[in-house]
Amino acid sequence: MILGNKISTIALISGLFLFSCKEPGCTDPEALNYNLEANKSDNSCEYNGEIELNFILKDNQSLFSIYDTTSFDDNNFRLEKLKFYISDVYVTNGNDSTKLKDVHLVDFSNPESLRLKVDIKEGQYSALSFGIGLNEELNNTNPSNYSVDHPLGLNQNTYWAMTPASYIFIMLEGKLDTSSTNFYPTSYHLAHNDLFSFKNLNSSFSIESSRTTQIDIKLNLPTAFYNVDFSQDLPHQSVANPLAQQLMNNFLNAIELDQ
Amino acid sequence: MQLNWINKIGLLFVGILFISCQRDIPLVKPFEYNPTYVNLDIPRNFPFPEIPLDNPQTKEGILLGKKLFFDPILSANNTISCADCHFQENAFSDPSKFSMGVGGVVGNKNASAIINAAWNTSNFWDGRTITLEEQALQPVTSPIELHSPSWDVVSQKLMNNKHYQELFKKAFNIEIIDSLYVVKAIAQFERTLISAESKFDKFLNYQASLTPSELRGKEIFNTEKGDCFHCHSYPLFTSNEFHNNGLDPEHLMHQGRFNVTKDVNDIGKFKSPTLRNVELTAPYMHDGRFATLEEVIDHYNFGGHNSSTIDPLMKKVNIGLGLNNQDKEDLINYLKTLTDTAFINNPNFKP
Repeated sequence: MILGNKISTIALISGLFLFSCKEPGCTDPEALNYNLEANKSDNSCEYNGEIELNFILKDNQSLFSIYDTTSFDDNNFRLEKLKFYISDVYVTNGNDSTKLKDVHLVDFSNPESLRLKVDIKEGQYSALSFGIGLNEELNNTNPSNYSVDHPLGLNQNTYWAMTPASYIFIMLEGKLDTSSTNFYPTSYHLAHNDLFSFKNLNSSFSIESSRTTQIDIKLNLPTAFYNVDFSQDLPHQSVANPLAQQLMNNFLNAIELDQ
Repeated sequence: MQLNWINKIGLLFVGILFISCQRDIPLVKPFEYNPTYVNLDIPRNFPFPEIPLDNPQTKEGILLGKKLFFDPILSANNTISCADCHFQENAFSDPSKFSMGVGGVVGNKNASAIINAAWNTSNFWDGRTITLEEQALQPVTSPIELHSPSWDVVSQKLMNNKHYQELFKKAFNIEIIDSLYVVKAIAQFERTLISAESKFDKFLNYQASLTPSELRGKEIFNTEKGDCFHCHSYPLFTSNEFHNNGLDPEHLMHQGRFNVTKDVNDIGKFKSPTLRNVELTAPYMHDGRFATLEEVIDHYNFGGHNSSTIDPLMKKVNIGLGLNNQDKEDLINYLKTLTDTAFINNPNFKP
């Protein structure tokens, strides 16, 4: 009887010991959710993939570049500079949102800036969103807070220091009527906290580990000028007047997924 | 054979005598390379500039750079130094329209002012060099500037100079002086030429007041009325970018940035200069065509000449700014608040 009890106790302890040795979890140190305690893989490992946002400039269906000319509303317009901030870049997965980037400067004179690559957890995503311009917190900083080459740094030439101080959210510069011998310098710069607007792009895409998922985002230049009266003085100050608001709305409408 | 004590004393005496007859061996302290690293004094509202990792600022490097900057040894006939085209009293610019090189040869561009050069993203009016080190390489052998036959000749001259040997050893721990280290030292000195103590800077720091005229000028400068701020924004008062500001009609445009990029869209574009100390840096524009600030403002007030490469920010090119005499006076008064007398009198910048 005593011997039987001893055997049972030993068996129980051995069983517990044996059971405790099998901690299930992710056992791959390369995984995002690697569990140091786990010694039995339960196939729960999660990995990063990569998302690449490609910004493409278009004149309706045609690819467009700096120094190309587009026609709209009986106007010819030659583009010479176009850069704009995107900030608070998020992807959505059900109710979860993941921030990809705080701020990025898209500059069509700088090819490197047209590709934004970010590591992101593998999975299925349903939307991409970003602000055009800067949120108030970022816009209250200034280039002395950053290295000179940072998107918000001095070398970008996107900051007005004098009152009212602001980063320039969108810089669009070029010339009208370039088909004749007369050129009319035409440009606008949008900057004001009230102009900061979000662009949501509904798109179902999956991220797989060790792979890059490309998302092409096009900016259709004629839409940016939709219904704009060029006889007016276009904005070049930190203002949120109706014309500045119209130009921002146009710009938002000009951005869409390039299917 | 055993030596008796008398013999032992005798041998010792001879030994001492032998040693004492040797020439004194000098005690040479081995050279220890120990430069003093220094930080630039970064003004308020300025970011840290990018300094090449292979050329950190040192006290020894800056001192050597200053000596080289003021020394005509870099020129072909030892007559002209960097400082002969960049005068401190003129904020390191040249009051001559075109600077004079060795042998009286006259150049073809107005010498750029060296102000806050640590933040330059390119150098020369056409931006043909990126770093200050690259910039300093060019004038030494340029036939219209210092006109030395080659950098090898310059290096040999410096190596023949004992004082320079010591200075280069202390600054860079080198025995062979070559162009790479000469321009590193000059660039270190140039990075110290920081100007941010003008009346306007003091105004921003609540240490000075602007007159009503200066305040009106500030408003003209920073609004569409004068439209100066796009290319000359605070704190550098330059965008470091290239613009065609309408100096010439299409058929007379100078090449400018085209010299570097070979892009026809860059014809007539030049780097916008800083307006800090602009009162002291006449004459103006890449070719020094305007002798006074009044002439500069008259140009912009006229609106400039239209062309295929006119800058999109020259929005009043066919119209003109419409500034009246009072506006012009106010704008000039504001520009003069950018004069930094501490900069032009700084003893650290003197030879």
